[in-house]
Amino acid sequence: MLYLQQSLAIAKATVVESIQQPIAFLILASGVLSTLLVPLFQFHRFSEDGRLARDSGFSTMMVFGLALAVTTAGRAVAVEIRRGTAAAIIGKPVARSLFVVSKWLGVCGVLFLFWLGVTAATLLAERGSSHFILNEVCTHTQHGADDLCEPSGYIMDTLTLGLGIGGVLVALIYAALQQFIKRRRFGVHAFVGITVSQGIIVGLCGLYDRTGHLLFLIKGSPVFVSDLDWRILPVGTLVLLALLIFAALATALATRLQTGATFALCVLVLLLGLTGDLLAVQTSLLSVQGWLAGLLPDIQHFWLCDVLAQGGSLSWGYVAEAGLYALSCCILFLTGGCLSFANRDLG
Amino acid sequence: MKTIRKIFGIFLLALRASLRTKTVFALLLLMVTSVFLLPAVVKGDGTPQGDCHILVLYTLGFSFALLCLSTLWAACALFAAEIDNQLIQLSAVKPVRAFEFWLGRWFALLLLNAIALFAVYSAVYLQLRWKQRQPGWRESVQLVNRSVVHPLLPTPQEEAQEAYELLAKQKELPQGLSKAQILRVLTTKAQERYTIVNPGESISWRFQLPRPIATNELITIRLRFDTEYSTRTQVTGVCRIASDVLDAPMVEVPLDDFSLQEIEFDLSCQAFHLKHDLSGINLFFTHTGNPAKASALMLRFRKDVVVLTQGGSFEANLLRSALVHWSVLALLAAFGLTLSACFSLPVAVFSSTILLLLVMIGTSVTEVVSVEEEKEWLKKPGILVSRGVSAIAHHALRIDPLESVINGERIEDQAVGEALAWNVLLSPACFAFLGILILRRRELASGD
Amino acid sequence: METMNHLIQIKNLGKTFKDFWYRPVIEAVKDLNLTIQQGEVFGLLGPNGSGKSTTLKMLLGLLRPTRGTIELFEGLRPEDVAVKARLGYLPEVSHLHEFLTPRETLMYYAALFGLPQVDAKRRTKELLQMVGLESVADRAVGRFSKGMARRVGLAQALINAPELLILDEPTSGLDPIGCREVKDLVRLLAKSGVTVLMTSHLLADVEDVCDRVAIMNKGERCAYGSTRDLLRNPDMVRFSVSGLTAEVAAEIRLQLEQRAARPVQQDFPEMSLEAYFLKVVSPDANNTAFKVAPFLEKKQ
Repeated sequence: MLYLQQSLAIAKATVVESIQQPIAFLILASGVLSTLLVPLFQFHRFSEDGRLARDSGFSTMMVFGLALAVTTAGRAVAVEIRRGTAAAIIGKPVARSLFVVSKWLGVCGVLFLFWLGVTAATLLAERGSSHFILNEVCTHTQHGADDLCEPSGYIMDTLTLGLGIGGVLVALIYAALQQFIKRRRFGVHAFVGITVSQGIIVGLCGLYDRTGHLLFLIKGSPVFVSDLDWRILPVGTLVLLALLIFAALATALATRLQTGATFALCVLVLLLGLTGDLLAVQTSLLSVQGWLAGLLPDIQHFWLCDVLAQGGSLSWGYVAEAGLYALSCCILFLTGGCLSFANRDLG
Repeated sequence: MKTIRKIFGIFLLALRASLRTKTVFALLLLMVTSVFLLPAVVKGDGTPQGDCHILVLYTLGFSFALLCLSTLWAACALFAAEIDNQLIQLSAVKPVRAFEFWLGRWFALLLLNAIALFAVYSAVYLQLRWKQRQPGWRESVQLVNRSVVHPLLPTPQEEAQEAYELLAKQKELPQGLSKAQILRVLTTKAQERYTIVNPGESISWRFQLPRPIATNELITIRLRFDTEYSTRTQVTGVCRIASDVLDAPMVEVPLDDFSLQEIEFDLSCQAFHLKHDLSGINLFFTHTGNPAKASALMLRFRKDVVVLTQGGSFEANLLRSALVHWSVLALLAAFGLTLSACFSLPVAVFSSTILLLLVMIGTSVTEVVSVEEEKEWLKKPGILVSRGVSAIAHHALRIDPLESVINGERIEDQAVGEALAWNVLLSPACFAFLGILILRRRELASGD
Repeated sequence: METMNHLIQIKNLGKTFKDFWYRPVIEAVKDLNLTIQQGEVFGLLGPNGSGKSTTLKMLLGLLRPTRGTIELFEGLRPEDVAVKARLGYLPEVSHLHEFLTPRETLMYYAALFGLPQVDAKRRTKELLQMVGLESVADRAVGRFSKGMARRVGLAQALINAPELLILDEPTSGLDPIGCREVKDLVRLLAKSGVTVLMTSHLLADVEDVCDRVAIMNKGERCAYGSTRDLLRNPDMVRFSVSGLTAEVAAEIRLQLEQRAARPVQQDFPEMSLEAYFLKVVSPDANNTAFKVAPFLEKKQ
């Protein structure tokens, strides 16, 4: 119970400290905005409605998430060691391994909030991107007028995209007001506000259709229809699992290295992870190549955006299996981190 | 003299800071891995040309991209990290001007980039030479360096202006578009305009060679034909090449090849029986296909017909490519240093990365935007931003040196000079001015 | 007094820190007026948050004043490069480049002054000898203790043989021997014409070396003047006599009491804990004068 209490306290402090930093909300805001803006600036259709929005969202999740994981872990571990804050914590009855694991949990907390925001933005962007809508029948409003005979063709749900972008702006204005009136930290409110705003809009967009008409005004239509591509969730969860692995790696590396070196090595692991099966072809497990292929996380298991092409979907069973694999990778990296930190001088 | 000593002292400090941190070693590890791992991992089409493509384009391109990001981030750290950690206080109270700080650090980055580029290019070059010893490679892949000569034609802008005036005269200008928009479209069309050669028809071009070609030298003529529906069809014709000397004999070269691929043939200048060097040629092509069966052939004057002359060694061309890349890195270093004078480290790194991505995306967006899309109000802001960014970055990214190297085309000295002037002198001077202005006004300490 | 040169003149100096919206958050310095004479040792005292360091940073051009003026060396402003060439600064926390050795650190700062290589090497060697770091001259500063890093900081403040030396908590992190050496250094430099401005929380150190002091509290100047004048108790006189027996001392005391018609306090003077420490730790310390670097001596 004590360990849990200690761990939660350290993790919570890590989350609060990390989301206060300007870089955290900058990464989240730019990730969300770039995802929402992609459908507006789409110049090719790639033969499938919404594909570019989905793929952009997942790419943003991975790349920006990796940057966030590394900067958060760097600040939470490397900077705290350098400044002596880590020594102050280890001076209390806190085990070093608990410190490392708790820091990882804190980084995971930040990444989870980030993931929520970007996933919501991806759902909104996919809905907002041009979809071909075939209206064979004119729908009638409650007033009985034939005024909802929409033309067929590619229709962009600009209302959803506008609400999404507006949500980000409202969150930033809210954070600015909090800072101006109550002198509270801008970063915290901006970070949480952006995530919450996207979540709210995901809920709100069930109240109107892609042409912007409120559903409760349309006769015979249900009041709430969630016209979102929920297939995005399992694929996005895989990306989150990959990010958690990188969070573990970054936390482990940050016990000895500065943020720049940590980032370079994480990028290297990402690249090797994406090409790992090519390296490991026809190699013995007992060879160096085999060992490397075994120890490095195979990121291809977590990057399955193409599954959603042509109407495909990903089962939650696969996500669960990937979760187990991700957990084993995290355990491996965190064990390395704990061993590295065990004899680290903190004075 | 004192200024030089101060700049050298700061330069030395920045070098030591880079070389004594673990970050540089991690980056080196990443680069070494990419230079040797990528060619092993990325599967080509199995041909020596494909392998060469991967080595030069992918490997060098990826390494250069890595260097761009690392230079940008290192530059962002040089001021911002020192200000954040209050390390700068001890230096700021010394009699050093802001421009001396800026220059010393920028020079350090230039040197580090030069060393990194040299290492990467050397590694790729050695791999190329090693591969050339493999059976079948030397015959398939020629590491050459040839000057590209295009036909003498009016520029696309002049052609667009002519077309615009003609449309205006005939009162056929499209409605709802500004003159600038129409000219932009006409210029693009002029660059990509196809000329049709029906069976039995002839077409000709005139080339002014960049330097007199000796009689014992070879020149290469390269043509690429297309068809209306981009189908693969037989190209049957005769090329007649004449020197610019009256009464000199014409050389005839029959063509029997296929469309959608580059057709090259070498020509010895001795064939012209000239007493002096060759300075210009006229090229005539006659489509000798069967009018009943053969398709009309199409080609773009500005892209599909070139004369290639000996342009020097492959190594020299590789060096020119490295120089162009180095100039881009110098520009990024200057940009990063200025941003680091304005913001804290994480914000500077983030902003610089986003701006770099915007530049790269903006350049490609401007190439694909259509006139109809320009009218959509939702897309207008994006198009305006893309155009603005592309205009600013246009001079910096004018040439793609790796494409030239892989195609065996000489990167002209003028292009290298322009890149150096723009990226190493003019733009950094502007960034330096801005950065110095900000540094002088910025408070470099916090209170009690 | 009228013929003394004012090296530093501070008039109505004020500094207000503002937030992102440019609203004032804290007024760190309020209407400060100070004059520091050439060749004197001046102490700037005050509790934490009184505005001492802020004042120093404004003097050095690291912060810009919100109000008021600062003039150094006959009318120059703190931002002027000519001023920076003539002063040396030791900050409260020695922010040094951890990857550099002391030798490289001093050579770097020498280069920033534009010193020729030969002079820079010579001064570096002399300063390292002076601060007792010659044996570790090639070890990275990141591995130093706080006191050792402080010594490097002190050395870099003197590399240009400054006319004005600004020391922010110069004895912080130093052992008693080091403290004494710093005080000896300050006295020697003052004798050779260097003006020293120092802040310290160790009031005994300030009392030992400073000619004049100013005391700040909550951004305002509370006291200002010569150390002796400020500390003197005008009502009391103390006589110190050695070699008296108890009977003779009692007799003199009686006579004083009769004469002065008031009680006379009698005690036995004690040496300070610092003096006792030095006596125990380095018995020869009192016989060996602190040796300042030769290039600094030449100014005498």
